[in-house]
Amino acid sequence: MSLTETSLFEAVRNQYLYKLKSRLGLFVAMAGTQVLALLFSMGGVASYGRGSQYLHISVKYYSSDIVIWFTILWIFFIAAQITARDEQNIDFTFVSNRLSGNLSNAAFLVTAALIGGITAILSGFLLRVIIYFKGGIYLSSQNFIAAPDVVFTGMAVTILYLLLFGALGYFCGVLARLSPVFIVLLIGLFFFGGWFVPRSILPAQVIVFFRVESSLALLTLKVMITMVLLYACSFILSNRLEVR
Amino acid sequence: MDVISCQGLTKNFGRIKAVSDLSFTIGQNVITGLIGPNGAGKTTLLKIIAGFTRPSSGKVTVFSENPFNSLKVSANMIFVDEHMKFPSSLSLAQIMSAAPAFYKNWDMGLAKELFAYFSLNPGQRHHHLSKGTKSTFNMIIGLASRCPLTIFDEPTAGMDAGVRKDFYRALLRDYLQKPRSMIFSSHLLNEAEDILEDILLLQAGQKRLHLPVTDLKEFAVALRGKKEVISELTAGQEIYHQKNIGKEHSYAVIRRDAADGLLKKSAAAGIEILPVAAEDLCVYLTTRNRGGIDHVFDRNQSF
Repeated sequence: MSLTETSLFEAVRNQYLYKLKSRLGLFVAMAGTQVLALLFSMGGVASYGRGSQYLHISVKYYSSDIVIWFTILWIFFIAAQITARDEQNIDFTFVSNRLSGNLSNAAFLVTAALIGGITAILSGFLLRVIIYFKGGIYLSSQNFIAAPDVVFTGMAVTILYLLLFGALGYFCGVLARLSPVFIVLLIGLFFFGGWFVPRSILPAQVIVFFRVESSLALLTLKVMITMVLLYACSFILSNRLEVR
Repeated sequence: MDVISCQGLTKNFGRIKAVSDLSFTIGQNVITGLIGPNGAGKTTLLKIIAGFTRPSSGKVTVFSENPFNSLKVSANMIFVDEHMKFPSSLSLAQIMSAAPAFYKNWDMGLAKELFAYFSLNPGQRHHHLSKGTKSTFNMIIGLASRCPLTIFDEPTAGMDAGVRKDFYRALLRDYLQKPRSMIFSSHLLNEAEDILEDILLLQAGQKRLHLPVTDLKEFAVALRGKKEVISELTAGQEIYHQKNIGKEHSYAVIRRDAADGLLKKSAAAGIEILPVAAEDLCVYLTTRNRGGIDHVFDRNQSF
């Protein structure tokens, strides 16, 4: 029987489509997460009130911030989850090597970030509609009608953060696969990292590096480079893992 | 061209050598039975060949490539065992419809007919199947993918006798239609004997024998007769198996080439010469204790 030839691209494409089909449930989970976040947003994400004897003013800010944060959590956890041994065993039932499995996972996470980012921003409009019909409050028209450029910038930034956290989650997942020691280490770092590392250095600066960036182009560059580095490390670390 | 070639292959798990200094080659379009008792290293060897794990030392090539991380090997090889993993979100029918994208030789007609014959339920999830049904489904995937190298690791686990028979038949029929290299591992030769061409017998991670089944059937003979005569005849030869029959008679299995010269002598001494079934011979060759389980009890009684 003659041998068949398969290119890396072909293998990745097949695995990507297979994964998209089998992991549709993760997007249902995303929708659920976003609905839950929307409920939390109903009371306003920030508010202040002041009053005198005769007058009381209460100002509430509504935004899809909570939805975005929940979506970020969602992508982080699914990214960590798809590095699990069972998932890799699913890869190796059909045609795969470690690189193609990793690349198709990364492609899947990019898709998840796109869908997550778009839906998270669009949920802001749903929130507007709900608040509008809820009535009983005076709505400031200033931000009620969103300008397209604001919406698209918001989407782009959200997608960038989702890409970043997807890559981070994947990297953490790979570390956890390598040794359970990393699980303990990562959890420890997350909760108690601040005790050991002075606030002025690393963690705070990493956040500043990404958060305080007013240029979309620069943010894109920063996220892309970090993402590629995180995936590259993940790929190298997992390239010798034994399966099944 | 050799499909598989191993040289000095060794795989350690901690201090234990699961496969130890194994060298052999497997050619094209041969059904090879990988036979050995539990813990002989069959699965470890197959996983190295499939590129799932790396050898500790030694060299392995499949289609002239190192199988670890080789897409070429993965595209032309399928590894069927009871631990085959499929997404829990997909039904059996969905899994089957996903397979052709991966395997270019995939035969959907065959897959569908086998699926219907074994009356599997297309809507069911793989992880809800019983052990035997799971094995049946995996076997269908393995056959229909028509890979130039098809590896079955203990494929009949949990199958009932009827399905097992059908499976061997299906395997043989499909092989005749589309000859390809197959490896079939089992701890027993029994029903598989008829479909195998070659046998690779493993014991404690090492190769015991690698030869055609027809040669294996001729490999050894058994001598039966008076104890003293037998021990005289077999002096200085490797005895694969020996047991006592009553007090005065005994039964010994030796190599046929060694026995040839003895034929005349033994006939004169009233010794019977009997053939040894390939299945029994495999057991004799791979048991660690020559006397067999009886030996344990015999020894205990003498106290």
